[in-house]
Amino acid sequence: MDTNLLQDITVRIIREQELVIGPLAWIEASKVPGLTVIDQRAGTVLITGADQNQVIDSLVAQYEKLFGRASHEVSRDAVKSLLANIPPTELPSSLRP
Amino acid sequence: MTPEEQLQLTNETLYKHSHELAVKNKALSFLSQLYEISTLTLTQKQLSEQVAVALQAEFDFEIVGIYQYDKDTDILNPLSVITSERIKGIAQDRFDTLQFKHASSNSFLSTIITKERFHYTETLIEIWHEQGILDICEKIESEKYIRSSLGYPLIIGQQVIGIVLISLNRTYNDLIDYERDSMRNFMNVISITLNRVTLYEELELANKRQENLIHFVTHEVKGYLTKSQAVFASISEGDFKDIPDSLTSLATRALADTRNGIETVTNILEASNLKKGTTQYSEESFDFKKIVTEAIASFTPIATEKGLTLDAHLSAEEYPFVGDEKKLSRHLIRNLIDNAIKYTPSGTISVHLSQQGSEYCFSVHDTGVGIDADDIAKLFVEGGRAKDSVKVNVDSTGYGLFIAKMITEAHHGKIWVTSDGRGLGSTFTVTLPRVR
Repeated sequence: MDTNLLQDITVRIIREQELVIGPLAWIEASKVPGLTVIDQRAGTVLITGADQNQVIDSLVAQYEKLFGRASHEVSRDAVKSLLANIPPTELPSSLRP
Repeated sequence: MTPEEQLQLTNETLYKHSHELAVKNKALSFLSQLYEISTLTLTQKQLSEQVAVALQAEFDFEIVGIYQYDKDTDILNPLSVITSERIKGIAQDRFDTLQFKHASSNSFLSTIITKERFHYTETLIEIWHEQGILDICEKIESEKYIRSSLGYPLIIGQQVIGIVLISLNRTYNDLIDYERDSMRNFMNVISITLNRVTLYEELELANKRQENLIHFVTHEVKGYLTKSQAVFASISEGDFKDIPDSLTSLATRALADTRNGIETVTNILEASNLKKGTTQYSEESFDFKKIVTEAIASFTPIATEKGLTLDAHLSAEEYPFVGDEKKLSRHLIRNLIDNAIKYTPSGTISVHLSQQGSEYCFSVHDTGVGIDADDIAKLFVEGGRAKDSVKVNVDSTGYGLFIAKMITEAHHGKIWVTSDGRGLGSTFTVTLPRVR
């Protein structure tokens, strides 16, 4: 998947979680391996590592570990419109329908 | 359950509650955005553009179109159509200006228009098949940029006033609850807002038409009156031989009435021009005291004839001023003195002119009929009169003080009236800055 799109997806998930749990969303995101929060206010992140889809899966799991299944749904709903044109096989497994 | 498990459960429950609140907050925040748009925009075009942009940005829609429905012609006219970058890449601006003729015959739109119900399709062509953009629709569908389209009626008073058409890259089932619920709720807000600006635009147009009509009619009437005035003046002043005295006397009275009529229509025309902002003001240097002195001199015989005393209290200094001498003299100074004479059955009229700091202060005090507190607010508005003003002055047009106020304000001055009430006289005061 395109790196810009992956970054958009990541920021969209964090922002949506921020609406629910506040700044904690950014703190938890910064704990995910391969994900660096560059500027919280501007909403810029850097994804590193060979498997970038795995970084998104880890982010979704990070929230789910703390807040349960409902947070997984929130992450998935947040990016639905961004993922509509991507084949399910290319999606991070946590975001597949 | 272990303490850790209890903590986890509490966390998850709190998260669900917070999420519900977050969804409501989101909807409220978008509603407040719509509210802000509605209060800051006064045209249909502006309003629909901003609403469409906001909807597209909030929900990542591919096309958002707001259309106005004309029931008489059965046409849906686009007020604003916003497309995503990728749709624009295929269609350019083809969607932006397409109108739907025979809209209620369109299989998709007919449900929305005739049954006043939300309608849904997963075929873009079903909506646009008569619009000559089949190739564009096919391309968009083959790229899977648009998977479904939603149509919402905009209803006011059980009548469809428009439609919001939305196309998106997901099916209706893929929409999350927030999106589905919000869309339904927002449509009511959009309907009301759109109706408000439509009414505003119609009112503005009606006002403009009325103003033009008044301007035209008064201009025509003034022309006829001016011709009549010339005829009556000729008879009255003896330009014709062998005219019986009774006819001369009749012509003299008719001449006075015609002059009043001309004065009235001139005032209405002047007020109309002032309102439209087409009045030209000259900037000339003159002595303000001179126009006051001249006005007092010309009104003294009229006041004396009525048994009134017209006193002048003008301070000795010079009153250099720059402005429109003719308008200030006629519509302000003379108008206020003339009014004072007309509304004072007996007693005294005192005209004052003084310099107070950086301002000239001109006032006319009379011992006349006075003004109720309720009536004061009506005096300086267009066509405004005090309750019984025509009983005292049958020629009252209701435009004199409105014009006086506009002209005073055009010279950056202020005008106001004070009165202790009915029968207790009144004082009209004008202040004008010496230098603007």
